[in-house]
Amino acid sequence: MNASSGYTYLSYMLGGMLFYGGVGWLIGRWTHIAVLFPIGMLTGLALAVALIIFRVTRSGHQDPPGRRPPTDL
Amino acid sequence: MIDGRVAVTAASCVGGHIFGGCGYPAPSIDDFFFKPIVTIGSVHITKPMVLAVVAGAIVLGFFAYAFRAPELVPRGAQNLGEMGVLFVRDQILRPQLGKAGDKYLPFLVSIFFFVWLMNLFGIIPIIEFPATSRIAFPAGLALIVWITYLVVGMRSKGPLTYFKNIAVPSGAPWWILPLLSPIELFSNIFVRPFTLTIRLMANMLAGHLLLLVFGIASWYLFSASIGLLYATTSFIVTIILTGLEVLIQLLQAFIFTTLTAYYLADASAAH
Repeated sequence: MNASSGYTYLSYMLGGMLFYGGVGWLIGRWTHIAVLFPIGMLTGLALAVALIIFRVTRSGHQDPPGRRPPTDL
Repeated sequence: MIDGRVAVTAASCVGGHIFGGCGYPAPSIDDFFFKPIVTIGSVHITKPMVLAVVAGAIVLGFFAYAFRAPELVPRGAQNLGEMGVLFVRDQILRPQLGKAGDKYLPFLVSIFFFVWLMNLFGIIPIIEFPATSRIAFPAGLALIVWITYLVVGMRSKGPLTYFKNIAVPSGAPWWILPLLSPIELFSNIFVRPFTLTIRLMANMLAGHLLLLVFGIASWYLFSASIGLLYATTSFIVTIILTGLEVLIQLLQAFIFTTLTAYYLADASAAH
């Protein structure tokens, strides 16, 4: 649990917001409830944070030694 | 370019300077669009396209020349070429992929020097345009990287196992998996190439705009009065920012290649 963690977690958060935001937007369009779009985005963000927590605390996943995270954006 | 801008900003404008009653010809996104140099059929050849081809030709030509007759004790161009290759191997490839990843060295070396050269065009006098600030070039490169790491992943583990690996997050309890695996899949397949593209393009675009702002200001503020002081300050800032750009251009090429190496490592590593 070290290699490129920052980028992986950033892409989880983006992915969560995009996916569940998209789902919320589609359902919102269908039901004419516009607020479902932001709700979907927040849900996605929350789920992404949950996913990150699971990966950090429970996975026991070890990266091969010697791999180094990219340090800068 | 500057004369052309000033002509349209104000009617009573003398010389394009601030005390000539002119408005500041601010740089905008229009500066990233070029008139075609030549048109062949329905294909318009523009400056960024030419720059990309030139960058490719220089990288290809240089390495072909440097290693045309390799010697055990390198001299001249071979020395420089080896330094470049070893830099990519030791700083980018080995930390991510280890020794087993040496088969990807040609791929990473090509990407690194191609991107770096296209970035570098942003500060070379007369050329002064980073081809990577047009999104098509980073996007094309990211597409190549994307296809490569998907193919590598599928070949090293088999398509089904690979897709299971990138769709099922490790460590999460089973009851929440249906909610979490879309995120995992989405971030592994769609977000990665997208961020790779945007990071490079946005950095180059912002850097070029910044240089334009101060470069144009040094011309705009110039006059034989107190304006001389303003213009000199602006010019000095331009030089400092150019130095910063040199750093950012190298860094962005480095990051693009490092992330490529990381994605390859992630695709080929056994989970």
